[in-house]
Amino acid sequence: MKTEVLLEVKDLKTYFYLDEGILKAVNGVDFSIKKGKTLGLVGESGCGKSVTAQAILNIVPKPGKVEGEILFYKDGSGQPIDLAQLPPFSKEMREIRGAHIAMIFQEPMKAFHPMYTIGNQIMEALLLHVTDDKKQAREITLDMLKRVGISNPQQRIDEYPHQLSGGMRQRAMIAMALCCHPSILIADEPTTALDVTVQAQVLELMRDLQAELGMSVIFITHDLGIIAEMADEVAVMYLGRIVEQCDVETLFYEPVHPYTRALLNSIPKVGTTPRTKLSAIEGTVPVPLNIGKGCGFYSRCKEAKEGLCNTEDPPMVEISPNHFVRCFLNE
Amino acid sequence: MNNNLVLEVKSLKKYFPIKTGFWKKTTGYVKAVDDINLKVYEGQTLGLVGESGCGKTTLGKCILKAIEPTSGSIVFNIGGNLVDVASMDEKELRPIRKNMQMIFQDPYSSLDPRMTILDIIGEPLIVNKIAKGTELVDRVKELMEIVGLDSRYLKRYPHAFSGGQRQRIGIARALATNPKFIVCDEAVSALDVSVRSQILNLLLDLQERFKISYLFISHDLSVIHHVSHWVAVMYVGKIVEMAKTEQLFKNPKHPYTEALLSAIPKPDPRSKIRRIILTGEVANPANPPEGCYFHPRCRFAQDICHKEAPAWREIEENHYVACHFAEQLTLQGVEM
Repeated sequence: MKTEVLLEVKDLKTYFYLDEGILKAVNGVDFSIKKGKTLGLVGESGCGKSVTAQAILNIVPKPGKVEGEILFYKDGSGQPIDLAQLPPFSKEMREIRGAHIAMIFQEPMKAFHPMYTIGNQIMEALLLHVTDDKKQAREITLDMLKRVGISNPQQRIDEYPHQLSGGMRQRAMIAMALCCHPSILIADEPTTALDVTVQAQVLELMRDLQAELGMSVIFITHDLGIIAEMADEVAVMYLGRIVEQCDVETLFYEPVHPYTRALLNSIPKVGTTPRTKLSAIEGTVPVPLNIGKGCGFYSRCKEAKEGLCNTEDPPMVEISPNHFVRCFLNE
Repeated sequence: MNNNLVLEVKSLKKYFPIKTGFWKKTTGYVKAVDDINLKVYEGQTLGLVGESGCGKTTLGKCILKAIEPTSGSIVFNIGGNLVDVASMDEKELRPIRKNMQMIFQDPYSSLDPRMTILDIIGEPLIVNKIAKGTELVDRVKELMEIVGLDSRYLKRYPHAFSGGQRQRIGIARALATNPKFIVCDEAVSALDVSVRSQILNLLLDLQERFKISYLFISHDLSVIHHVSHWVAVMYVGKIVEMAKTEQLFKNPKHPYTEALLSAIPKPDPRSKIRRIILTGEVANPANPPEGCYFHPRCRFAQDICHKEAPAWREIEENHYVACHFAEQLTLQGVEM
């Protein structure tokens, strides 16, 4: 049985036209989101993963320009809507954003308005997308707050964001994102700012809700441990491109791309011998400003071949079923 | 005191008074550091792990006398002499300060944007009257090379450097006075994953080369595991467990340590570790629970835990814990 595809991203590009030149934040990204599954989007700062999420929701800040196709199969029906073609403030886009595709962020304070109660803000989403009845909206909100494990929801619903702890704010943000039962949730580093025990609680909550609601998730993070736990499929991003894409077990047990392998080797893991040197990746992530042709990882790659890797863009190749790699040396 | 102890902390307390009302009357205390005992050995790293608000940064600052402790002793071994800095004033401390330094978390706010790299790394040399003039410039260049920075960038300003490079500048600055003890307060947390490994390698190198001891404060257990010889786990101002690294990870004796260890997401999709999810929120240091501070969240809590604070004791060689039931509990460690 073929798993239903909800979202198809084709050759997505997001370029920022600056005085200094063109910043290619997202430079040709393809992936699809299947119903009920989690795609992990992993990469370091500046690889373009957050901008990819923004492009999907049509919230890329100026002067960013989005190209490519973002095909959303709204009701699992045949005809997709191309989100890249919808004006950001159009009725159609606003109907999708929040109700069908929702997002949670790293900094819950950024998602909440400091001067409105959290109840007010969650109800706003409900009143926009689900119901006209304020009483009903309040009841749904209370139920959602309870579902996400916020104690004392009757009291908390009328509190302001600053009155909640970091963990609680994150839960409230999850409640706000999920109250309209979106089919796709984009989670952008949702637990990075949280303590490790709170992170464990929030990740478990997300897994439970995902199973309950049959939701798809795009989980964006740089933390490979979280990816191992949450993702079914993983796409590794570097300098605006996906360099490797496969299922999660293959990524950790049979990685192919030099960047993926270097990253996996360089992280401190409990289980490796303490106080031995890590095999760190030399150099730093370049800024994708005015970049020419060639593999983005060339400057830091130990296996790179001059004359090949720095002159041509490596294409994405399916080296085994469902395992895609963008590397000349590993085709 | 052992000859190879570089630092011994006994019964350290730091209480912040809570002042309320118009007359600013003291109505209570935030017990940020609450009766702490620690040992750090020469050339070794003590990892201090705990979650937000547990008091680990305050503890680091107390040890360096960046803030005044409320009570307790902080004894450094400085060239064979035992010196209790806890009760020393600024004047007495000044000649000693060069032996203990700090590396901060945020490479962006910890460097003065209006000072050149030469100024920043050279400042401790000037303040401690260690070098000046050409000798100072030479020493700064040497330090830059040691931490992996190109010494041609001497006259540049911090904004010209990346996060990882700035952290190296902070490390060079900490090394300038040849300290024997450095507090690393979340020194790699703000860095990208690939840069993090570079800086960790550098810190390990420097430790081996110069026999520096670190108090490595972090909330990241994987990093702690990687750099520490010993690990202390902190909860609401108290240390609940302390042991050699492998011991603590394989064989934790305190339920909070067990929960922390099980909470680490492992980069292994086939890992079968049963995760212990703690209920409730972290206790409030201004109003901690009666008895053992951890009892409201502890799945093993009994009557005695509600009433009596557990004593800090050595449960087996080199393994300390504060829990009434440490002998009876079989807790889940991390598979190695």
